[in-house]
Amino acid sequence: MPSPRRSSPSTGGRWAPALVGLVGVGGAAVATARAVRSARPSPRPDRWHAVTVDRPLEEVAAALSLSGGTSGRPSGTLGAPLVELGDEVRVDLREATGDHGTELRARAAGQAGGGPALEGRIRAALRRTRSLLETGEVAQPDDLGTTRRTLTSLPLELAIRHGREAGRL
Amino acid sequence: MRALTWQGVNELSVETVPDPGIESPTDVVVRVVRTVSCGSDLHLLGGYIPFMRAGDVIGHEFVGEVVEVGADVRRHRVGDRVVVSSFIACGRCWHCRHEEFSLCDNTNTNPDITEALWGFAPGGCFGYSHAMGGNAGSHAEYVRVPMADVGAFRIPDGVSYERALFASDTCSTAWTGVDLGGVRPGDTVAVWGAGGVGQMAARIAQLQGAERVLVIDRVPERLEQVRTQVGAEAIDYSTQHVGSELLEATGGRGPDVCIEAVGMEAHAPGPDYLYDQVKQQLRLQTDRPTALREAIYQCRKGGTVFVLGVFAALADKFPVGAMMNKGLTVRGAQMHGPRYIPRVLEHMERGDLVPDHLATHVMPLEDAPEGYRLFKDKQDGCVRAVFTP
Repeated sequence: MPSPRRSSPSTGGRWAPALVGLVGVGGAAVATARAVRSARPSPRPDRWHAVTVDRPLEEVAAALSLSGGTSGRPSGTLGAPLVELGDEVRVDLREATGDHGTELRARAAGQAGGGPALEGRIRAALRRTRSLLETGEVAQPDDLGTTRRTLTSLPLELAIRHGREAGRL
Repeated sequence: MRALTWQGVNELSVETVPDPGIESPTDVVVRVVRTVSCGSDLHLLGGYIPFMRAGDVIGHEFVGEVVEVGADVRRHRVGDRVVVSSFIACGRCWHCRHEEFSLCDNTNTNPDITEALWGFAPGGCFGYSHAMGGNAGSHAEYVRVPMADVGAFRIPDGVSYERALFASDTCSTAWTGVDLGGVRPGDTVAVWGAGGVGQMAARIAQLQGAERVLVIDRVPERLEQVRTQVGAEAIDYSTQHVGSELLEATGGRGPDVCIEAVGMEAHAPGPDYLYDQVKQQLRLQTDRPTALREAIYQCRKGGTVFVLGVFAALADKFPVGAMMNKGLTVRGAQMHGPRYIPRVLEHMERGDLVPDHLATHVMPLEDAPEGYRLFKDKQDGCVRAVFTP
């Protein structure tokens, strides 16, 4: 087996590696953006989380088999990510503007919202459901098992672990 | 298999990693025949896009042979020679239906990162950090291609692997800029950056009927390629005054369309470069927009500036006044591969889009770290380093 060859290109800022370590850059840019937002009013705890699905409302309603037609509990296979949330969430559909298809919305069933953990699960379920409805699958990253943990990668690892749960949705 | 991995800032190594396999029925596995360095990889290498993990396989522009096919794949068979779009698209979301393939809703597996940075997440990309989906890169013997019916294209018999390689990203990125930049017959087009994308943007602008095309850079070998291989005019910003050259070339109007093909690590003579470099190294801005500022400043009234160079997040001293008061249209995009790769291949087959000269250095994958050193330092006339796994 050939031995690994390494290279350290010489140009490109000698300060950069040290600063990368100092700043913990993996999540710094994201953290900055979040910090800016956190200085503003928080979203309502009972707000709807939503994705728009590029399919007609009737098609989405049929695929999700919502108990109330365009709202209620889903039971269809393609709605499995939402089905898994059970009675914790309310789901409804409405036509999107223009040619955008259908707005698929979900929120915690309780008046006070479900807290960050449930909100994260709702976001992930909505993203997965949209992907299933549009493509029949949910894309997965490659995991060749070659990555290794470093000090500066910890914030990034956290972001990846919650890749579909976090975000603005 | 062997693969080129990112190990840390300015540190690459070729390692033995597990072979990829079919993970979804819409996947194919491609044996990589050729894979090429891209200027945007240098942003990963330098730590300017800080979403890499040690051990990630990089590379996003490649051609190869299909060796394994998922059960739901319809357009490809084992043995096909294919070129693959660097951005991964599902083909079925609203953005894909509108041919905005790099904005795909369903292929970025970590949308939280780019939603926080940019408001919304674009699609996934091969070998371009976890912010862009965490897909393994193409600088390897094999690569898994998700949703292959959308992003992989059979290479016509009359087009060699060597040529088709640049349809994967370079030419289709360039076509994105020329098309969405609205280049029309008779236009004068200025392109900042004479790397692969800049040169091909110049050539494609000619194909779209641009009457005069000028490319701005400082690297002699690249400017020579602009003159001799592309047939466009070259401006050396290290010895020529860009503004006066462009005014003279356009009768005092300024270029109709300005294409920025440099990105977040721009160089320039003068104090603005020093200012940008210091702010970037102190992480007070993520991007050095020196070329973008100039493009906006030099563009004619009512013209269009198209941003093809890769930017990460925030840049200082953005000339919003020039943009607004001159009535400019400023657009940008990553490449919409499936929209442009078929027509790129047609032109390659016809022989009027020939990027072969960009492959100044062809070497085994085991030498890829050295290839990146030459590419990054622009040594030995390196425009692109091509690897043959």
